[in-house]
Amino acid sequence: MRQVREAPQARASRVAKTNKRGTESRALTQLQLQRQALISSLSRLLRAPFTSAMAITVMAIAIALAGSFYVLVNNAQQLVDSLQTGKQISLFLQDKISDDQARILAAKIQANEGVAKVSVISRQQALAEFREYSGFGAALNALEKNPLPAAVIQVYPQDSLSEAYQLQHLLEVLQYEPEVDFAQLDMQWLARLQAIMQMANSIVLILTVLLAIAVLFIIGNTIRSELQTRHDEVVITKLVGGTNAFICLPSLKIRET
Amino acid sequence: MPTVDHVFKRYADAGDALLDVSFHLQKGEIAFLTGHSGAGKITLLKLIAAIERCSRGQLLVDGQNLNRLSDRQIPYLRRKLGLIFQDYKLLFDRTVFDNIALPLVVSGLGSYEVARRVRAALDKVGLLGKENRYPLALSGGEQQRIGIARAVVNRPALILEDEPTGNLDPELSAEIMHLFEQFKQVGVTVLIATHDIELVTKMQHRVLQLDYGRLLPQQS
Repeated sequence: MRQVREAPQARASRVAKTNKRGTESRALTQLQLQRQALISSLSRLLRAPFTSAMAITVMAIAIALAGSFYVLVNNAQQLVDSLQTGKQISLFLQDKISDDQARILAAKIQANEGVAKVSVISRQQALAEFREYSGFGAALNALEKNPLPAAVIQVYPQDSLSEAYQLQHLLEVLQYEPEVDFAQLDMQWLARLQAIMQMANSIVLILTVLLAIAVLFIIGNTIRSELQTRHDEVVITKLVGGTNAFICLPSLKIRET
Repeated sequence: MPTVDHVFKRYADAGDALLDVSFHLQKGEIAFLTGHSGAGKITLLKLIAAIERCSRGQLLVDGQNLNRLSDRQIPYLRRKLGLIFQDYKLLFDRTVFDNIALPLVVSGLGSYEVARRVRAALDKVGLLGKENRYPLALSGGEQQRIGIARAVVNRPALILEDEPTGNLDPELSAEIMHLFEQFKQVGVTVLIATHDIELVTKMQHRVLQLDYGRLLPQQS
């Protein structure tokens, strides 16, 4: 070892300079460490492309599964909501009621609160429609008179009546009109569908939670196996005074600058 | 520098490793720790380096009571120590430079200062110019010297060594011992665990001899 003799002042100024440089670079060091950690972890990924790809794929599938379930249910929910705007009450009138009487009743119902629109389907209209859509055209022609019962009034409730009990209430009001034989709310299948949707929603929620846990375990396991392969590195880093926080950074390579 | 005060160490499976060991090393003192294998040399080094904790007694290193040291404080103690291992404990996927730089990097030193100090350490062990090689490409003696360079690069106050010259030829071994003599002059304390009786008798330093976990009365 060479012994270099220096004047005390020169030595002091050299020490001060080194210290200053030390603090300046220390501020940069954290940033530098993070940058180097990023670069080296990316290069680690590239060095083991197969294992990395597997781990990434597993995580991607788990996250995508939960995500696509959610989108699916969300879309189905929207569909159900849009169906719900098509809700209607059908009033089947008594046989003796003529089409004209039906129109008068329709006008009266129109005045009801919560009713958006009323349309009357006369017996002739109903027959025409039935003939067109049912495929029983020839059979109907063979009949002498219109086999359909009285006219039907279709009542479209306002959109503000979204809850089932509100619709039920309207239904009851309309049902007590003397001309009405039978009233039907075309809602029951919707209610069933909604219940199914709700169940699907909770299934998705449970699946999402399970998958989230799975993702955590997968990530944890990946880190653990990574640490196992880096066991020596961890031991040695600890022996030379590395803190746990330092060890949690990916491997660092310090190059001469 | 280290003060070992009535220290006992008992392993649950292997029984007593150290029994009532007491000694103190002055700042800038070199001492050899000898004894048959299984006498407790490594255990003692592990206790001083806070790798393990003692069962009874007290250890003071650089004024710090190791019994009162929390796990979080241990890294900061280690930065004041230089550890040299019989099996070198090098990272074979890193260059010589990166291996030696590790103690400085973990203390958050800037890269300029790291490079400067690593080169100084390489110069001291005679490996300058090999910083970009990988340890496996070097001989056993050279690997050992990497380990020594790593231990001294952070200018430790206390160097603990386990068979530091085991793989070195006599000439290199003498050079390394000469290096420690230089450290001694700047106040570094050195504790060397060794079997090498020849080295011990040649060097004329204090000898601590362990025998089945007990420290024998000092001869010199």
